[in-house]
Amino acid sequence: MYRRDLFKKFAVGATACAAPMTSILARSAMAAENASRLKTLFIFHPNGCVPSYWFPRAGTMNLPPMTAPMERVKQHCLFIDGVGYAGKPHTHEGGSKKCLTGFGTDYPTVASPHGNTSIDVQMGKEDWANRDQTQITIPSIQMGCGTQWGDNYDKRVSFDNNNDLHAVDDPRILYPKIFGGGGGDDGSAKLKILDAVKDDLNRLRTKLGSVERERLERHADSLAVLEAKLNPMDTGSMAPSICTAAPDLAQFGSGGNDTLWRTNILSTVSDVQQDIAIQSLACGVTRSIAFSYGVSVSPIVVPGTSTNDHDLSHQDADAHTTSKVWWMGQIAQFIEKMANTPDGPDGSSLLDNTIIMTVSDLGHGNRHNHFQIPILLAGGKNAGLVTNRSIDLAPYGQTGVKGDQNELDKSINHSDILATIADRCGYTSCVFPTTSDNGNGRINNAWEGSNQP
Amino acid sequence: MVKKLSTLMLFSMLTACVAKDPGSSSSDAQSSSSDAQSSSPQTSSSSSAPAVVETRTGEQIYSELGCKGCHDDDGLNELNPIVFENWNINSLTQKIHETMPPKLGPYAPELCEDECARRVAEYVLSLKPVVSCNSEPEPLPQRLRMLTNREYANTINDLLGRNDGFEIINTFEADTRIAGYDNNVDGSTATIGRIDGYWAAAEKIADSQSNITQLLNCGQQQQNPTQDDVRRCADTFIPRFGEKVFRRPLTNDEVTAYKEVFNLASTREDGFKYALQAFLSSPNFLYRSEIGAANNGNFKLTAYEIASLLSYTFWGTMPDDNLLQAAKDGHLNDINTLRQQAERLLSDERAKAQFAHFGRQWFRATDLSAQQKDPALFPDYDDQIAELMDRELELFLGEVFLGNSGNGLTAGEIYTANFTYLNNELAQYYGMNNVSTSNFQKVTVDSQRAGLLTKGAVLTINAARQENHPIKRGLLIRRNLLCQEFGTPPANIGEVEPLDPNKPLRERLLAHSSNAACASCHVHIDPLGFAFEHYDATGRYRTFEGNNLPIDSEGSLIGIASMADIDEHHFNDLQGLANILATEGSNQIALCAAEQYQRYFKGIAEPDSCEVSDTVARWQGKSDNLVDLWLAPLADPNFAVRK
Repeated sequence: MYRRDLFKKFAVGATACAAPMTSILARSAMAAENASRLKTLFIFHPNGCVPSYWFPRAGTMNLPPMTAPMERVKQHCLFIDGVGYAGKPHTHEGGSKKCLTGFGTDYPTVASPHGNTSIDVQMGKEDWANRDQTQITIPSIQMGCGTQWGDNYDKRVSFDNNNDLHAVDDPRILYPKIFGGGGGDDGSAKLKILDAVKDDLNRLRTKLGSVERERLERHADSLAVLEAKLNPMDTGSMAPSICTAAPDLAQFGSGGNDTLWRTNILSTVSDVQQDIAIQSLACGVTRSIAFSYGVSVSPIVVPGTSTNDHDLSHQDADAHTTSKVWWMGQIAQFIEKMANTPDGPDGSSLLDNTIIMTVSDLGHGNRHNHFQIPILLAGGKNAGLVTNRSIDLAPYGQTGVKGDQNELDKSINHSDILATIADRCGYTSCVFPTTSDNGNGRINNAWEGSNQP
Repeated sequence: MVKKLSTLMLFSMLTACVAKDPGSSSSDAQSSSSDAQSSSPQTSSSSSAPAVVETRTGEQIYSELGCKGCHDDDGLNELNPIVFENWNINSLTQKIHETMPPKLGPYAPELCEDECARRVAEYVLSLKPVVSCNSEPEPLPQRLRMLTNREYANTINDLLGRNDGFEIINTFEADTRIAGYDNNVDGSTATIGRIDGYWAAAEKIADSQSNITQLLNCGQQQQNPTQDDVRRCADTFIPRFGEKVFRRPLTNDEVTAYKEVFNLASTREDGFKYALQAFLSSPNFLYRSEIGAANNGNFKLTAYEIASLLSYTFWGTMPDDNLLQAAKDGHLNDINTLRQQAERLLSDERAKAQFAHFGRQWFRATDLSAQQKDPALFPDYDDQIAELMDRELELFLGEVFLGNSGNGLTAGEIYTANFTYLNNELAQYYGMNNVSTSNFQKVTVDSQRAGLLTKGAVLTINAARQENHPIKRGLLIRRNLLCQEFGTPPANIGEVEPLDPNKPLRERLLAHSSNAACASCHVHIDPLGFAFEHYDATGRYRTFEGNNLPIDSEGSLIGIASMADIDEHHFNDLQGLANILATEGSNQIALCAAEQYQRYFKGIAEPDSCEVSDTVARWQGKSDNLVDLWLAPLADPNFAVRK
């Protein structure tokens, strides 16, 4: 049902934007062949929460005010209370840096061969290295909605070896990047032009030697992704409609990125961005997405509120709830769409094949701590995730994990969850420095239905 | 007037704030303020427990109580740094005594009061890095600087005679801002998204270029062009055009490679399009080079690299023919020619736009169009007004920074200049009726609209959706105008009371001064923010707030050079504060102007403090005119040196 809706909506605007290119057709084959492979979607929502307003009491699924909008999808969710961010610093920006990297100072850490790299990026790198099997065309995607102030380096959640990555919140930029390009009448000439560009880069690298090596290596990596996009394999398969659909980008006009931060258009942007993410996962473009709803200290004014999200997080719980429910409502919609998107020949949904994890920059928004991070897992049925539950892992955690003011409160370390997700999806290169038990900490029991980690 | 506060008075003030905390008794405050002998808080302790003799060293306590955990061994933890400049032994002892380790959550850590606090304070201050300016300043490293989106847009427009550069960059990912600036070297990386965007833009530009024949300049094309005709055109076009694109002559290998690309086509026009797409996607176009050539153990920038450095700094775009010719002739190695070229660039209108861009970033006045205000409270504010305010700011900054004939004003005049630029619509919005046309014109204004701080754009951005934001406005003064930094806000901060038309904002923010953990910083922030209270969240002047509540914009700036100092400067309103900055604060605002300019000019977040001082010396050795600040780096011995 969803796919028809999506296609219909996209088709309306199909003439108003860059039409999907021939590479999409190739991706359809990837989708068919690789649908069973697990995907991941990490969703950031800003400024923490009020835990008692966000977590259902462990063992129940009576959703409190902040997560009330999740009611319609709660059967797909596992709420995990009692999780903290290990190490320092316990700030908005520190939480943004930690949430997908497991990075933290002043805490026993495991050496990471990939530096401070977030889970979405590292998974993407591994998939890219194995692209003859994965057949992805983009390693990972960093995207979002309402990421005003996201151009500040310390507001971002995705990292590539300490380099922060921008979450693109403008579908007019994102969609062509993912689905545009490739093919065309002069495709052969384009590839030769690209060869010339690569030659230029190589001459520069040779000339500079070790100077700016990392910068130019990243440049080369990005050109390789561009080349793959321009040079799709033609498998001859017919594309499912979801892979050829195109969003109505014309509705966003031609103004700057800031025009998409207006309260009255946020819901539409969110809707289209979700569709692009779903399309990317369903069509095998990538297997890993980090999706940022806002950024830490988000100045965005979301529908249903009177002032900006960050200011509300420093008022009382009821005030913060007025904005948090919008973010959670969007996440519920996201989950619902994925549940309604078929994925693969076995009747599974995209949600069944995707592990969703929500994170935030803080636990309690007003207290600025890293305790009781508003984390839930969703989907992941084909990864053995048992949902429709709420658990509290604090009793099984350790004290001092968070490195913040809750010194004597127990909690488990969120890196253990990241590591479990990586394991469950079959990734072997992901290291999250603050993973407990010298890197061996996992939540496998909780994953499979237990109330213990 | 400068009023030197005694240490006692400062502590009295701080303690008075503490006394507003229900958890503190008034007698505690009295005991503190009555002890004129003690500049440490020994006698202000609220603890009634018997005194414990502290035998540990400050270093031991710093480790045992977990200070090190948050601040690191050197006190400079990236996100919990101790800002040494903000503290002296007395104020830091007081801070530790009252708030450290953080007493948060239900589990209070071991307290560190009295002698414990003093010892830790002594130890912490001993960690302060010793700055010595005796050694030779270090050159910047060899590096590649990716064009910012703005630089890309300007370059495309100038290179190709287009006017849609700023539309094209709307398809790019945002630049990364570090320390407020979009041109930081560390922020510009060739992500997948950026490279994809550059490629798509190059393709679009090549396909839509209209003046190809003029740009090719290959003479009349034959009616039925042969491949030889195409080749001949490539032979002349590639090296000539490539020199503009790469901002330096092409190497032989590059000429050959780009001719091959051109010759993929069967017509000149298609050859141009292919070559143009390759040129615009090349790293030699996308990065401006600061690599140089080996010279005395370092690397000296080439004349072409210097030309780009000047051009992108002063114009935000590629060098023009004049500058490229000067590079080709080797004249840019001569300091006099270099200065003449720089002065030429600064006297051009393009410099005004570029320096306004620098100023917007310096003063946190970017993204005005993203500001949303509550239409019920501010029905007259809309996108059009925002656009006009932005234009006002641009014209004001352009003139203050560069003047009308290449002579800018002084740093102090940034905050006190008695003119602005208005059109009739914006003037009416401000309640002024002295402009009759829709064209912006220079207008003499009284103190209500004098200087940068009264500009609608600055006021509107540093405000919330429904009301003013004294914290943002106070931080603007401290961070951006005085270049003073704060540590990380404490956890478990109090709740801020929401908008209440019957309660002044100043009163609703009392939590900042009633909580000792907050007060130590907010005593330096909030009073400066309250100075703006006569201006609402959309830049309009007002005489009351909420439901006819009187406005109190009076306050004091304590510590102009450093928040560890106790010099106090009283003001009645925003203009009073601006005057203090321009007079008593002139040295600090000059130093800060030089620091901000180095961030922008060098593309780094943390300029070397010695080099900032050197810049001020070079600048003010010439004059106090801001133009001489912009030119000061040219006299830096390391201006054209990289390591």
